[in-house]
Amino acid sequence: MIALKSEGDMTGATADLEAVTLDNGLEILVRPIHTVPLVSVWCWYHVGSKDEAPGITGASHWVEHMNFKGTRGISREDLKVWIERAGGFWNGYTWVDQTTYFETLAADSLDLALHIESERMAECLYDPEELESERSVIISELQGNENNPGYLLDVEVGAAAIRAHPYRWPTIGWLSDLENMTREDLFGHYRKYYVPNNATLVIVGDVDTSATLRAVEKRFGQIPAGERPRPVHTRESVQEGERRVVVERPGTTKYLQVAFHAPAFRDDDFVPLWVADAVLSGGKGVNLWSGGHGRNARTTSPLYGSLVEPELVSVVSSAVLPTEAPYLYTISATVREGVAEQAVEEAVFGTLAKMADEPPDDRALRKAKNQLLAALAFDDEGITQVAHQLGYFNTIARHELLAELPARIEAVTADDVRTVSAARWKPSGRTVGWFRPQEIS
Amino acid sequence: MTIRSALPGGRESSAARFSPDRFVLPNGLAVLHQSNPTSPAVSISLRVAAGACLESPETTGLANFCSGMLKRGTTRRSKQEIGEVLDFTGSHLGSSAGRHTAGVGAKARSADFEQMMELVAECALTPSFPAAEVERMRGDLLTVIREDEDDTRQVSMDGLRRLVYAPDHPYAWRLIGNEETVTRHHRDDLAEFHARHFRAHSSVLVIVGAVERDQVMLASERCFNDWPADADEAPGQAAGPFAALQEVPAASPPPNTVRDVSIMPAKAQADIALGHPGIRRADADYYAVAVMNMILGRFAMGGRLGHSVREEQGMAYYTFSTFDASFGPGPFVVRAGVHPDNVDAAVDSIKVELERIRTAAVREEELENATSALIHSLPRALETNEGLATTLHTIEQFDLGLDYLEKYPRLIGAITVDDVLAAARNHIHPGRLGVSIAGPYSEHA
Repeated sequence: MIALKSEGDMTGATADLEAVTLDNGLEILVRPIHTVPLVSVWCWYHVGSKDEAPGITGASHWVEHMNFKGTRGISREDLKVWIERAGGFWNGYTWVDQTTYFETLAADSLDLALHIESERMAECLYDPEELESERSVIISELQGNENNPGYLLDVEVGAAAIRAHPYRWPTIGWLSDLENMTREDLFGHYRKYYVPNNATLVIVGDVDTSATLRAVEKRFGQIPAGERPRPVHTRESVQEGERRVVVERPGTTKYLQVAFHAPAFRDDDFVPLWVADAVLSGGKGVNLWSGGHGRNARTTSPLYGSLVEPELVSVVSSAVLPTEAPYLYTISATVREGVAEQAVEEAVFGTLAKMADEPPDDRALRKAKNQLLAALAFDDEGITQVAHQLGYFNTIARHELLAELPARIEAVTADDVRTVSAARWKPSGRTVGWFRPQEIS
Repeated sequence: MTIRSALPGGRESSAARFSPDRFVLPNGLAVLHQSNPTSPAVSISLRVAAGACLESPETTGLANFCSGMLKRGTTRRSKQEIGEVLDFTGSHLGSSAGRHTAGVGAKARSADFEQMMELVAECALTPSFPAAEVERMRGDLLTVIREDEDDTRQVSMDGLRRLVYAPDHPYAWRLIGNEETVTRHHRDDLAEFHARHFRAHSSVLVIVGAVERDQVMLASERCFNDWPADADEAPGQAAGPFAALQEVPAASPPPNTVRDVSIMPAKAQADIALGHPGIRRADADYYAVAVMNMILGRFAMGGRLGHSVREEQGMAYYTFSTFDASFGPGPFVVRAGVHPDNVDAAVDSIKVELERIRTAAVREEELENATSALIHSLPRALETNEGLATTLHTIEQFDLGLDYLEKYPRLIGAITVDDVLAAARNHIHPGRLGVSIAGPYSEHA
């Protein structure tokens, strides 16, 4: 076991945080917090829809489902029963860059969570019958998503805005791939990416750090390192002109979604754009798990003032999410009945153009920063959230960057906001999508 | 395994760390406070007995409309001025109504606590219902109503409520109301509803976070002392803040199973809501029902229902059951999302499980799993400020006592296999269900 660093005197996101890497490459982050007798254990894998190709789109998400279906040492039933008997809350999710699994449970059941996660890393079964039954479950999850006009529009806009990079397909995959993928495809995907040197294990809660590290070594130390997966090398080329898409389906309400190309989290433009977004519609945290995205713009924000106030739309939201490679900046609106599409577009694009022309005044900038700082404080409230944040950022970048965010927010100037707005919200780089509801017959 | 009488966990029990203060202002407002130093944040939550169950079928949506207006202008500040305070501090403030209570809630950095207390009090006590904002909110509500009509989960649940509650029962209608009632509500109706129901003696204020007891007492007195006590209501009266809600009428399951199908051909998946009126929170069987429902439709992703309908038969993407036990007999509901071809088979499988749990005793192992899960999951309700605030409201609303978390493991641990069977026999009626289906479904029969 090699100790990378030990930070005893830091505050905020990294207070008491211990970061250790095992000989097999597994990164471990432990942070004791003693307010409730609980522990949250998250195991993160650096694999998501970015690691797929046409033919196996949706493989990462399906693998996640299969990894709840039993291992050599723990049956499918026992997996659930043991966690729930310990009062545990458990789940997993897959997105573009990452797949993760967690248990938040009574602190004296820490070893149970470690046992489950170590089995999940190397010993999952992929029983052919289970795989077939999961095929229908995932297809019905896809059909459930497709009941939602917002989802349909999001998929259409994403696929139009991104042409080359694998971020272009939805995490759940295309239907025909889900219908045709084989056990070999899925098991191969699992074995390629579920190796200790492609994972981060995060433990936060009512635990003792050194005892926890010993327990982790015992459960994970014997799992051999694998070949480090090849990073995605595809880069999106610059978009040279507006793209437009329309979805026409039976429905009741009209929706707009506009997407621009956004910087990766590590890019110097990310934090300035995050602040610019806070000025535009209100500050959102960087925690996908806690939600808050899709929330209506703040009432004193320019986007609210130009769209909700004049009663063009009932809801407008915008977001930039931290990702490993450049992804999308999106603006979404629920249009009021009878309002012309052109009026909504003019209001959105006029607001963006104004931000590209004039830097925000001192109060608007201070307001945006306060909102982001408050959102970061809210994200630190419970151990499950704290553990999520550490693992998320360690998977897409480095966990240390999370602790640097408050200082980086403070460093953004009004002119940085104007510059990034002008660079990132160019008309030639946008994709405009409309969901036009058709009369339900 | 044996059920420990103390809460499970680390070096001290969560009950020891959970040590709320409670005091009552001279006007009757009850205040509960729990300190949580984990993060420099605080949650403030005021709940008032002013929910949708105080409406009539002709005034549905009034409580929701009224409470939604509280943050849209007061006698001192416009909506923009309120927004400016919230936006400058990065705080959140929401106002909404449920079936029983309405309220104002806020989340802020603890440095902004005093300012947020003022704002919560101002919104709850002195809303001005500006005419232009009323019209704007009406437009927003009508949009949501139309969106909901396109949402299979919402449509199936609304259908079930109409099937199993009489039209004048307060659990029959939608919280948001319908196009007709929402179009009709006048500004004065909202102000009148507020004046009648937003009273100090029927309210509870909960504060959780990185703030101290003295701060909480001072701010509560400063911000809420002006809320007049009712002349005819003695403060802290025996009936408690939620006396008005104790009168939610009884409701029985329909005499025979009844069906409602909303055909939504454009959808890919069908949602099913199936059930009937359930129990009140005060029912003596509450804990036995909680354990029984854990086994039936919750434990390890949907209990027996999840195991049979989702796992073994692969017919549903999700399925689970709930008992909404409250001031009145809230619904017992089984919900499932299924492929349109599987609707009838899924309904049949659900009925088989309902019949099974009320005819044969559950296995000892199932009972132990369920009680262990209920007891050990209790600390999770205390993880976040919001979770703590919700727990305190529940304790206060249903008069459970501040030592409730200590008592809870004993109450659950005492439930036997026979108690579970009796609870299922008394409270699940597979021949008297409402079955509500929404989606691309065509009846084969």
